[in-house]
Amino acid sequence: MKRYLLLICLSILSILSIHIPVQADDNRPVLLVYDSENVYYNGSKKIDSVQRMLTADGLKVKTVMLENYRSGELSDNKYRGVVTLINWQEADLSNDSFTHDRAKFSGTKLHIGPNLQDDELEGLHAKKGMIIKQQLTLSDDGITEQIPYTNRMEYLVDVAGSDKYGVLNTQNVGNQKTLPYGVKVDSNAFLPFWNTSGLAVNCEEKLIADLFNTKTDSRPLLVINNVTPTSNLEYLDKLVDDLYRNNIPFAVSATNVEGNTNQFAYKKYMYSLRIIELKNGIIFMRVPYLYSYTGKEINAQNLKATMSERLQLMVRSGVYPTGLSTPNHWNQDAVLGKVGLKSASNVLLLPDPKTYPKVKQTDYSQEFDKAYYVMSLKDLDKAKTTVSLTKANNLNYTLPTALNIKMPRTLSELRKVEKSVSGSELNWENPAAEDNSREMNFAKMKLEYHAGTYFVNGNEQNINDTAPVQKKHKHKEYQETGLNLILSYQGKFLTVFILVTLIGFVLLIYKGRKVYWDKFKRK
Amino acid sequence: MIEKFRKNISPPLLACVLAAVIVGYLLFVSPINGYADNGDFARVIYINGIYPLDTKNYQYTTYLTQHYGLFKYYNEHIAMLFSSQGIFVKTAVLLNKLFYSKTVFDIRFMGLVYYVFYLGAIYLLTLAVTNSNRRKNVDYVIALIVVLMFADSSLTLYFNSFFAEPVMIIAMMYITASLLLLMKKHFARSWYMLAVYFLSSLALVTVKQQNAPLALSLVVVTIGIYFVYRNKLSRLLIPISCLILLGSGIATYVMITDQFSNINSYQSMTRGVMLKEQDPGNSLEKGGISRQYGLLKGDIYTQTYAATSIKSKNITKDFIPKYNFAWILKYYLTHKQQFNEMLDVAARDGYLVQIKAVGDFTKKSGAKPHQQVQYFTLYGAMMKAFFPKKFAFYMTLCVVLVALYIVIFVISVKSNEMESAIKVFMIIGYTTMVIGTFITAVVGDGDADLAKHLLMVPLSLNLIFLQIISDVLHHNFWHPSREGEY
Repeated sequence: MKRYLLLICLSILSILSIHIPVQADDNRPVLLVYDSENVYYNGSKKIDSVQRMLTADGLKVKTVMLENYRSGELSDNKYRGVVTLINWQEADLSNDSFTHDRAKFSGTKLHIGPNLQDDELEGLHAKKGMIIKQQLTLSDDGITEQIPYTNRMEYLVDVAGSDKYGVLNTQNVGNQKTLPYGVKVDSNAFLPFWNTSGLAVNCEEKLIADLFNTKTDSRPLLVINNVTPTSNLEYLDKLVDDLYRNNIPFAVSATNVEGNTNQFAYKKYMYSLRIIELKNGIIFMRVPYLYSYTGKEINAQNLKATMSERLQLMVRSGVYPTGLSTPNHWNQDAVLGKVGLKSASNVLLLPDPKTYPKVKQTDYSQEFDKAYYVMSLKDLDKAKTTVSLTKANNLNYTLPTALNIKMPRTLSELRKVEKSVSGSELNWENPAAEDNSREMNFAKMKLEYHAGTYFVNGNEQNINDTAPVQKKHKHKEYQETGLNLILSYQGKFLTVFILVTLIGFVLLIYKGRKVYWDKFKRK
Repeated sequence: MIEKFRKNISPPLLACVLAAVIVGYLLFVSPINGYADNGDFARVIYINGIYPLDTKNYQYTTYLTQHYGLFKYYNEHIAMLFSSQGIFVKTAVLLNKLFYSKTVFDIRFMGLVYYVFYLGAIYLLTLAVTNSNRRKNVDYVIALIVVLMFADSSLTLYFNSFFAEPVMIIAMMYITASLLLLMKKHFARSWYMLAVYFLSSLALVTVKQQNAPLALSLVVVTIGIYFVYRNKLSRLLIPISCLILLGSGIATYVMITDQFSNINSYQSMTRGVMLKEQDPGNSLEKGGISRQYGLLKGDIYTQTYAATSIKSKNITKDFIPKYNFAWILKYYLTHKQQFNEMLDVAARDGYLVQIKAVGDFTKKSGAKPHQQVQYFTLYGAMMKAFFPKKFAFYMTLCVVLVALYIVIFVISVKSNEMESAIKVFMIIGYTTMVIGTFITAVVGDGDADLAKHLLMVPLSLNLIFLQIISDVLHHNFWHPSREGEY
């Protein structure tokens, strides 16, 4: 008996000791190194776009300019991958310590743009070629887009056995060349150029998801942005109603005020947001716009206070935000990101404005449960493609992507927006039909959105749909009593008496004016 | 001894020397003093070739910056507004390049340019209010009063800064002095004084957008001259000069760029019209503006955390163009209570000349941030503390002054002393400046930045008080144009 027990124990132990390697979540950030902002040629927009897309793939990103790169920064234990972004081909900038460290690095490597270096070509097991002065087209998933005229572009040659993302074709008659767009060889990859919108985005998203964190294909989320308390609520209501009647799920990126909540205008705004919740729309609170007189007014304390106040005011009015909507630079800032975006698990990443204040810019961004890469629906529509990108409902977005329409200001803008949405045949993301919940945590409250229902601290909420009515002030007709009665009559009497006396004086002065003048005149 | 003193040192000279020493010490002797930048300097310095040397550590409001850089190469900045201040700044830059450095600008050169004009103004002003023929002790007392009032640091600190106010201070002093000297027929050729008056008026009107309405007040003042000079040439020139003044006022108002127009427009609503009502929604709707904009109540243009983008078309096209000066004036006239409350807010700061929001010392002097100068601020401090802070008082004061001087006008007509008309219309014109400044400050920018916007009030009132004191001491209050006959 004892022997059998021992045997059983030993076998159990041996089973337990078989070490099954568990894939631990890789928490290491990605290092993004760029050569120049090259603002005039939209280099800074590309950096912004790459940062947002990496965040959409659930990555932490540390961004460094090539000339500021310090030797030893890129090491295997610190980073899981490195992205080299070259914006300024002609300058041919390089940094020897970076080239050296990158060659030694054994993690994931992605090169975007021209000026591929030898160590990168080695990793890709390829040679590079160059085309000059070509009109190219990009094709993927049966759709072809015409790319703006290319002056110079590098591409990879001899890349058999690699994963390809999109295909480029030159337009030479009778001598058409087919080149790969995105190329991945094991954990090394290359993109000849980066586009912030259009068909290229689908290729870029697929490539990044394959390189870093795999994601299941998602449908794009429709977002109405630029909604503020001073927007035309009538047009907002009409647009929302139009989407609801066409069974289109959507999201809204809306700001909130910090005060003036006693005004009727505030109640109207909150009512419009509640109606959005009832018409299958989810709310993302857009972070406040930042303006600074001396450049030093923003600090962690007042930022935390203002974010908390704005969110709490929404909740008190029955509006339950499911996430935050923010320009990318907040996430690259230690104060704006760590303090300002703390409450959200879902964010919409908007492109940066032209200028913005830097509070504590560390260029070290954090990741979120679900971060959406936002691009404009109008831009997508304008892309020169064989099949309109807004009608191609077979087109998949590998990373969470949101397509935004701007809050209309005029009737004609409203009609245009309604037309562009009804004209698109995309399969929009429907948060109400999803399994996962969206959470927000602030001021000791936990907001949760799950399958169309809102919860505050676990309690299901009913959304009030009664329209607010302005209280009319009744003119109080009151009778003075007692002493006040006497005094009011006294006041009236005195006024009359004094007026009469004054008139009398003026008459008398007029009559005797000669006498008075003589008194003034000098002898 | 005293006779020798009286013979050699005239009251104007005394005033000039005293002012030179007092103000010179404040401005030029290290550690220097002046008003620090509150963000307004940028609109002046760049177009004149000046830029802050250390943009990262540039001190806003806390400390005065003594040294700036000078552009060496092509200056691509376009003028943000049209102003007479540019002439003074360019002169300072020129002097700086000649005598100091071609790359570093010392703000004392700005102070120097204003200082020179200022001393001239002190001299002429004292000359205007004192007796030049027979100097009595009274005249020296008046000279001291002039120094007490106009060498006050709250005014002279402006000289070491890029604010437009020094031009206003100096221009008003020259206007007053030239008119009084015209009245007394002090100079054989009155053309010089007329030219001084005209140029100072132009400088005053064109130096700031807010000063455009002053053109109207100055037209009232110019009418006074018309009563004295009645020859054919004057009959032509005086209306023409009135028209030129009015035109320059309109030009100043119109030529301001959108950026500044927007700031003032925006704040005149959010920190003005909307401020004193619990829910401004109804008033906005009645005026044809969506009540949703009422939610901007209390915001300044550069509000740290804002719910709307001030650059968005929602604000720049759907809000700001929907109202103008007339709209706001109509609102205030139909909402007397709010208007009175706003005017009283302004009246509280009527005699607050020294700007509390900015510091007056340089960082290297070791002073605390925002520290205020106490040196020679007796008159300013006294008036700030004791002058009544109700708008009704200012109104009453102005009404009384107008009434008094209308009487003096009638007397002068009867006594055939038409020169007094100059003084009468000057005082009446100044009272319109006082009331007008209150109204334009409230209507034009709400309660934002009031102390600077109200400078014309203490300036005009000081000049009025100075003249009254001088006339009373000379016993010719009812006959101002007579000198030495009592």
